[in-house]
Amino acid sequence: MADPQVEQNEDRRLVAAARSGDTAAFEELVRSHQHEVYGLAIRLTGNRELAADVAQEALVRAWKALPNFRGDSAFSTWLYRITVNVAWTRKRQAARRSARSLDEIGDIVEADSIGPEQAGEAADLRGRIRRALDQLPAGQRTLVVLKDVEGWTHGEIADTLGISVSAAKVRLHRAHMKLRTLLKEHR
Amino acid sequence: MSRLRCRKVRLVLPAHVFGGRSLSRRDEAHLGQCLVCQADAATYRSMQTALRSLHDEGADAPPWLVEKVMATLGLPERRQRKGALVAAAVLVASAAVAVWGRRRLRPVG
Ligand SMILES: [Zn+2]
Repeated sequence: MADPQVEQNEDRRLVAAARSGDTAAFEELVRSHQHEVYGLAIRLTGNRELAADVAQEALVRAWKALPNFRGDSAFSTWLYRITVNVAWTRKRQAARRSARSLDEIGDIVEADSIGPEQAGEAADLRGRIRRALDQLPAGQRTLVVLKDVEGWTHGEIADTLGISVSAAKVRLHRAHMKLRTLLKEHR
Repeated sequence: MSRLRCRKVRLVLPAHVFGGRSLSRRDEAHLGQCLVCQADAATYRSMQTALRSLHDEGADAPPWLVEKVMATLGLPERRQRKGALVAAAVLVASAAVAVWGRRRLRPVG
């Protein structure tokens, strides 16, 4: 299913069925969106294990919240918003619960995702940016990932995180400056 | 090269590179001549490219994810089923007691 319009129509049909309690329809939705949700979670958290937990919780929450989904946005957009909120909550909990450093978490992803075949300048830069991202405070990381990696608008970010557009812009600006400093350190 | 201008330009560079905000003429002129600010702008540009490229690094969800999600959704159902089993067991037990009681009450002979 490459055509986004066809995909959205299919989603709409499945959502309608799932809303009336059809778990098989919901399973279809989970199947078709699981990789996107997990990918977003991993970029937001920088940790595979945590990302899997986040994806699972987000999908379960989506099922529970489905009666409230009015279809104002695409199902995928709605689902990604839930994922962002779960990731945000989990990261804060994790930061409180354990003293495990973000660098360590970053190393896990690094070791998993970078193979020798990916060597080269671009991969090197990606590695450095990932390490730098891991050192950003969770709030700043969320903004950078949503804006610069996922391509969300300031408005979408502000909406999802419950902040004003200007606050989103100011925080993003700070995050960019901080990221640049960190990137220089990782040279 | 004015240090003050450097500081000013570096403050607006992220919004210029990431947000496409245009520079003032003086800032533009400074950027055209200042190697330090140019290097900074180049860093932001490569940051932007690297960040965008992270999106294309697809990560497959773990193979157990769908099953686990669906199993979690089924929890209340399973609880209901368990509840129904308990209720059925109670019914059977009370029926047995009733039968046993009736048997006992049945006059002998
Ligand atoms: Zn300068």
